[in-house]
Amino acid sequence: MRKLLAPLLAISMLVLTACGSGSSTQTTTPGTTTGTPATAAPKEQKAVIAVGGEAQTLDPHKTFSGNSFVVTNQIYESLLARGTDGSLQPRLATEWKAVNETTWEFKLRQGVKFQDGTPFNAEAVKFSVERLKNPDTKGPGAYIVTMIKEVKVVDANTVQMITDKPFAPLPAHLAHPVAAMVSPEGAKGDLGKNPIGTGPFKLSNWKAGESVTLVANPDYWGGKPKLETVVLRVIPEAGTQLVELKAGTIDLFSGVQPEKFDEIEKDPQLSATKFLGWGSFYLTYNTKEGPTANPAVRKAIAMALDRKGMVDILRAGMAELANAPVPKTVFGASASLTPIAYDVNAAKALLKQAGVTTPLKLKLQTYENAETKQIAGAIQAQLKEIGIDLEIAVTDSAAFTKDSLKADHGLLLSSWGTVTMDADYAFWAWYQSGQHQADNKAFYANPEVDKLLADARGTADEKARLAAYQKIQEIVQNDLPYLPLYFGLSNYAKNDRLVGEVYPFAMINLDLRKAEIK
Amino acid sequence: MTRYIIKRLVLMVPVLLGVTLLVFLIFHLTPGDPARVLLGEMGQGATPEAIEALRHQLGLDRPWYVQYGDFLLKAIQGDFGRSFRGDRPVLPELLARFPVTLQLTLSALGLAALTGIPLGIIAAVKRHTWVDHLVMVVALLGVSLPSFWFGIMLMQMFALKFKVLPPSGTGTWQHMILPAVTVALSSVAFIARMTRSTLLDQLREDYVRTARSKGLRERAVVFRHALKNAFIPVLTTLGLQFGNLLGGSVVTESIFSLPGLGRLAVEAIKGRDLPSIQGSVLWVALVFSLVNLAVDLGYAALDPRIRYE
Repeated sequence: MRKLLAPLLAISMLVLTACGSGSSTQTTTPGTTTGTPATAAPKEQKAVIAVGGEAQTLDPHKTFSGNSFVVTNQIYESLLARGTDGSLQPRLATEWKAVNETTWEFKLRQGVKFQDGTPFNAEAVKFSVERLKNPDTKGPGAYIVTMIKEVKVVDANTVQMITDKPFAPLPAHLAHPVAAMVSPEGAKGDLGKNPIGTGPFKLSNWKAGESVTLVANPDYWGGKPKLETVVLRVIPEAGTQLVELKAGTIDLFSGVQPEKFDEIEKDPQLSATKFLGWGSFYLTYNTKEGPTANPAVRKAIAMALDRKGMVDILRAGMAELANAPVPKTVFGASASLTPIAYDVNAAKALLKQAGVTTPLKLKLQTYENAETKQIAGAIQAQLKEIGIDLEIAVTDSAAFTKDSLKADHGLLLSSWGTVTMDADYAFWAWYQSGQHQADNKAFYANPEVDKLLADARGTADEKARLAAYQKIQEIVQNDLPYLPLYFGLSNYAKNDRLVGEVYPFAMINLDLRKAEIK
Repeated sequence: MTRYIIKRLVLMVPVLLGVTLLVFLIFHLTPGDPARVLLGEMGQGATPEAIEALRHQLGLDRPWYVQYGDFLLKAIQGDFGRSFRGDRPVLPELLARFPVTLQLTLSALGLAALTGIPLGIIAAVKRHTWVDHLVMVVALLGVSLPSFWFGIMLMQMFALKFKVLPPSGTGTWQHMILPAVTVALSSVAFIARMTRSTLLDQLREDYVRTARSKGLRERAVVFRHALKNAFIPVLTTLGLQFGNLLGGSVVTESIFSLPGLGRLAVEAIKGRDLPSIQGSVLWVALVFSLVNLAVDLGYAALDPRIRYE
């Protein structure tokens, strides 16, 4: 008996030390509040923001993940930033202009100091851009600045960026969170753990996999933020995020599921906002091989899809019908294209006229996600109407990015974020004929479009750029290498005690400089 | 005994080597390019040259055996390398995540053993009565209820309705209650069934009849004689579950936002982050082997006939 008791006893001891009196607490009566999470006192200036995944590092140059930028963008700043209207706003640079085709000049904000006391000046800009570009940094986002050949220090508060070729979207690229300005002194240590930027908040504590706690930077050039503490908590499940918001333990989360919107709106203490962001949801055709190499098949598919139905019914109003490849929030988006009309009979007639024998077998590849699977199912059903037998292949996103490069795909269903808010970022990647091994997965090649893309990059004249992008969109609407379906709306939900937050398009741009807890 | 332990520890080396090689080969056979995944959805727009440059930075343009050799050489020196995502050392990351997983495992398994074993004993002693049936129905429910559903229900009830427990995260011991109950649920069921069936087998043995015929009280027969012999398979079950849970319980960790090993490993796999995958698998294999050894030594403690020389 004693020998049996020993292991049993050991186990129970372990339990008791590990979880306290776990089993007894279950029986706590509803009235007791011992276990209640501490709700923030009304005036405690602390905001808790939910993030879906952990930051990989707090060194903005060493990552290209949204989860990292959500944090680093509170600590660091870039030269420029995006406003809620999509316009470029001054941040660490106060003015910028093109000196000539390949040179941009930036006037820097004066009297700014990094959180370690190092002055922010032209040398720091030169250091930061060169650090991001340097292969030793191992920065996945280096390509955002690789076109910069030289950063020239003109004086303490002026820099010139010289590109190897004319590159008009440069200011848009410098508004990207990856192009953050880092302290040259701080970078001698490990910025990944000890981040030092010029931003409104500084790192206080990072619990691996759990949360990052930031505190207000008292010396912030724009004035000390009202929030004393910002906690960015990792909560991977959307369902849990909602429970946490309702329980009052977090103040904000993004990516509300469409069906939960009403539930949040009904709660008097909570609110949810949705707005057009930078995302596009679209179909890619294989223009090189297979049935979709035939333009008539591409057009017939476009006519057979009830995109309005997808937006209104399937996405429950959480999307806007795409009338251009990129949403109107993006510079260069066309406002005057007429989307291809939904007409099943015309689609059938077109296939017949083109001599396509039905049923036509076709494969659609997409990645594991509730939205992609839902839309893929709808496409499959709608294409059946015109005699196309669609096979759907769903893989995880890592496999999808690789598989989709193979020349044997038929249709791809995926989404895109034009994060620089400049059409160049999307159009160059989708349409330029040199990008077949990257994001031009339609294998589209049109010399006229290539030339227009280069032209639009090569001039700083905004009107000329807009004209070039308009022309490109007209051509591709006709050539149809991609079919824009809709623009998913960005959204976030918050507890109304948090006020003054600014949310330009995406969580990574969340601006809490003027936010407070009421 | 000491010699046996040393022998077992030495035997772990080829096991661990095999595990790392297997992970390496599977990784290279799995579709998905780490460089592209690293660029992710936000990296759309990178040129083919930029992607190639990134592959070179990560050392992925070398032949796989060179990559593996490089990994082994460093691993032997205790260096698990740096993660692809974020370029951070892997080992400190693992060590930071382990306490949460250990805490969850110990509390869940402790809870499961403390409820499962008594339930199993009651069911066996009162076999074919309504008590037995009730316990077995509860056990069936426990195995059948999916933990993602059960966890969310617990959270809705205790965090939103009664407001007695925090919904998710860590920080206080209260945070660990709901996840521990969620994980324990299926283990309770398993342990109860196992205890019941092995105890029933023992109760049919000759020595039990002898014990009863010499007039021993039923309590002494069950607890002093039968239960002790019934306990070896239960210990094996506990040990296996312990090892399994130490690898992390992904679903529960995700629902309750616990920064454990399971989530780390799954995120690493999704991100095709080879050094992190390699590190977490190696860690779990090591812990699992050690737990197995401990269970084997536990047999000897339970049954004097078992000796390790």
